[in-house]
Order: sequence, then C-alpha cells, then structure tokens
Amino acid sequence: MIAILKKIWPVVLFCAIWEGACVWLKIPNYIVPPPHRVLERIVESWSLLCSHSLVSILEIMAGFALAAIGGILCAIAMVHSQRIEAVLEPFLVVSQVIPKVALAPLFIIWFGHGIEPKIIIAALIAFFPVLVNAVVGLRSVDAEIMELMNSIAASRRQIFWRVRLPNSLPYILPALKVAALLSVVGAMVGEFVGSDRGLGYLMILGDVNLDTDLLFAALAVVTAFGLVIYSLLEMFERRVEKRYGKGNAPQLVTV
Amino acid sequence: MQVKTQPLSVAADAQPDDEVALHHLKAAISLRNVDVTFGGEAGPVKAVSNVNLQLRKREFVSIVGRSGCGKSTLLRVIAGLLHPSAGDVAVMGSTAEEARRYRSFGIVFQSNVMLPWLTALENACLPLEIIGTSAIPPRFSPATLLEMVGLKGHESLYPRQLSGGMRQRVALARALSFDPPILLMDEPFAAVDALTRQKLHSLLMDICARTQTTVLFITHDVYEAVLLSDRVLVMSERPGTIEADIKVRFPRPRGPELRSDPEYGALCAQIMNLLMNEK
Repeated sequence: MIAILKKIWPVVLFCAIWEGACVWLKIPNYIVPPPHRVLERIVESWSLLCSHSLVSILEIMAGFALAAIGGILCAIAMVHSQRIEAVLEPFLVVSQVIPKVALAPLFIIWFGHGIEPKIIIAALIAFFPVLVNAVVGLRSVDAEIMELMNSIAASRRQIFWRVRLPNSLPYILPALKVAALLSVVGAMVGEFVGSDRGLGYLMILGDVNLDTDLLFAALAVVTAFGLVIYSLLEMFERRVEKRYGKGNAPQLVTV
Repeated sequence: MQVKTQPLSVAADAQPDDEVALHHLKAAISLRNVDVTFGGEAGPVKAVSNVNLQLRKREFVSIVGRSGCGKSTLLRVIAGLLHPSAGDVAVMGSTAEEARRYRSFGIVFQSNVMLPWLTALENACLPLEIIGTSAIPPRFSPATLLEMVGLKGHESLYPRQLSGGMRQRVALARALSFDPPILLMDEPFAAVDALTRQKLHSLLMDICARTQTTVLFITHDVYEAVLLSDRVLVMSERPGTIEADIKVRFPRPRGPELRSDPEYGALCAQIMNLLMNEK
C-alpha cells in the first residue's frame, strides 16, 4: 500500500491542485469538472460506461491481436526470404509515411459504422512497431553464433526455433507494449470519426451536449484501461528480459 | 616460399609443395594452393594467397600471424563456411563442405558468444540438441563434458553469471560435445587474463591428450603457440601465406615450467623474428 502510494503521490497531488483550482477559481463544470465530480459521474453512469467500454475493449483487443500476430508473421516472412522482403519493403516505407489516422474516414466508408473499421484502424496503427522491432530482433543474431550453427550444419528451421525466435523476444515485447497503447488510440480515432457505440462515441456525445463530466468520465475509463494493459505487458516483459536478455531495438512509433 | 630453419629442437618441415594426391586424402586437413579473394568496393582484395598446409590426424598445429593476415579466413575456409577462390581443401578425405555436414568440426571463437537464455550445461549441449543423439550415442555424457572442462557444479549458471574464463570453458565443452575429429580454435584465449590463460592451456592440452582430437589453433601469441603445438606455421600479411613451418619437439605432457626452458625461449624468439622481419 505504501509502495503504491510512493509511486502515485504526484498524481494524487495533481488531483488535489486540480480540485483546489476548480473551487478557488470558480471554473464552471462544463469547462473543467473537478476530479470528485468526474468520480461521481463515473458512479452515476456506471452501466452506460460499462456497456460502451465493452465495445471499445473488444475493438482494442482485436486490433492489438491482429497487429501483434500479423506483425510477427510478416517479420518472419521478411527475414526468411529476401524476395518477400524486396516486395514488401516499398509498401512498408510508404505506409510508414502515410498518417494512418487520416485513413479512418475511408474505412468508415468501406466498412460502415460497426466495430470492423475500428479494429482495422487500431491494427494498422499498432502493426508497424511490432513489425520493425521483430525484424530487428530476428536479424540481430550474433554472427559467430550463426557460424557456429552452420559449422554443425543446423537447418534453417533449427536456427529459427533455437536461436532467432528466442533472440527476438526482448525486441518484440517492448514493441507489443507500444502497440497495445497505439491500438487504444486507433480504436478511439475510429470511434470519433463515425460510430454509435464505444467510449470514443461517449466522448463525442459529451462534447456536443456540453456534458463535459461525461467526456472526462469516459477519458478516465480509457486511461485506466490503457494503464492496465501497459502494466500487464510490462510485467510480462520483465520476466522475458530476465531470461532472454535486453534488446535494443529502435522504438518506432508512428500514428 | 618456405623459410628453412634449423635451431636446436626444430627441424624444417620436409614436405614438398607438390604433395601427392594420396597424402591429400589421408591427412586430417589438407590445403593445396588455396587462394581467397574478397570483392571489395576498391576492387578485389586477396586475403589468402597460395596456402599449402597439412595436418596429420591427432596433430596440434598453430598458425601465428599478425592481426588481419588472413588466419581467421583460413579457418573459415577449412570449416566449410567460406569457399576458396582457388585451390583444393580436403578434410578427412572429403571436401570441407561435406566434412561440415558430417559434423567434423568443433569451433571455438575468441568472443565465445553463448545463448543468454540457456544455462552453461544447455549451451554446452546445444550442438547435441541440433544434431540429435538418436543415431549415435554421444561419447561424453553432459555431466562428463562439463567435468572435463572443470565446470562441475556450475552446470545451471547462466552465461551472465560466468566469468570470461568460465565462458571459454563452456565454449570448449560446446565444441567437444559431439566428439568431432577436428577442433578449430580462433584466438580462443586472446580475451582472458594471463593467469586464466595459463590454466586454460593446461586444460586444453589435457583434453587433447584424452580425446586425441586434431587441433588447428589460430593465435597471435607466439609463446602460446609454441607451448601448445606440435607444429607452428608462420603466416605473413596481405596476402596471407604460410612463410615458415616449424616443428616443436618438446616432450609432452608440457607444463608452465617449459616457459623457463632456454630452448623454448630461443624458439619463441626465432618465430618472433620471422614475424617482425616481414615486410
């Protein structure tokens, strides 16, 4: 308990100042509601927030899973074959440069207002950090280890399972952490652009009705959810790092 | 061009350049007129030129030369990891490529990289895992293997918990794990301190006496080469070629006391001179 308090005291202090500022400066609720009001609103609209959260969580999870699996498989293919790499490379460079958020309206046109376009946007945004880091991790095997494996005529499959894949774990896991948070961004952006469900939809609803309490409540729930995913992945990452060592892949983030 | 040398315990090697084909096949390792040329941006660079060498079975041969003279390149050619631009390589009567597929080589590098997620024992047994032990049961059990290199009781430590010397021991065990007929060592002790190196020298000589392995040992340390070897080949620089072939006839087992033998000193000085005097 004390350990947690030691970690979050700046946040508590920040909330206290926020609360104080709202009271002393008489800031109206529709501009910035005080923290206690946000908490009250979360309790009042609990069932509403819950049902919309479920939609967002589904989008985020599905987007993240697609990005993680797709990114790792793509990286394996690229490391495996130079031809595949040559074909994919230009597309990857271009898709790095395109602001993927700007594609959101397009996906709404193509796939409608359901959860599918949100999943696709989330996956697309989260995909590249996974891919880039996985490629670096799979490639960054020590040259002498490769010579050693070749000197005993190890097959490509053996080298992959015994050396490449474990070697890439410390590179892939930090990327998954980034990807998880990016898929939250992706889902929210998708919901902003066009939806009738989800936390992003609630935020827009709060915005147009000047119901700033609701906007902040939804924001608090999204933030809490992001924190949970992040800490879970970080715990996992630490365990992997302990066993497989630390990677030093470039942390590539594009939104 | 072979330099003839004749100090007290040394005889010039009598092998003529035109080795008969039969010898080529019977030797543990035989190189005939081997050239290695690398294509560089500034045109091709000849790294190794016209190398002829033969290792008999169970022989311990060192190649000494300055850094960058192509000795590591030569080792990779023998291991079948690099194709020579010209010349013939025969290992135990087959090509280097075949010998590699028959798992004829245990290799120890200078920076003995381990897989950090495997323990000392698992790292040492990695080649066995790759090769599979179903066909031929391994000559040494994993426990014997680590005992041989003096790491009994440290089996379950991870590489990061091992000192430099201990890592070299694991690397040696890893190279020996599948009982290869040939051990290729590329400056294996260059990165450890002098005391540890001395211990590792004794260990290596003990192991070679026990396993009867043919060893090709690459080093730039003349004292080390003379202490360990039956023969020392002196390699010149750019393009690398074998300048001299010197027999070392001190009786075995050899110990650190050999270092105070004046004949040993004289021989080392002679080899040093050969290395220093090249253009």
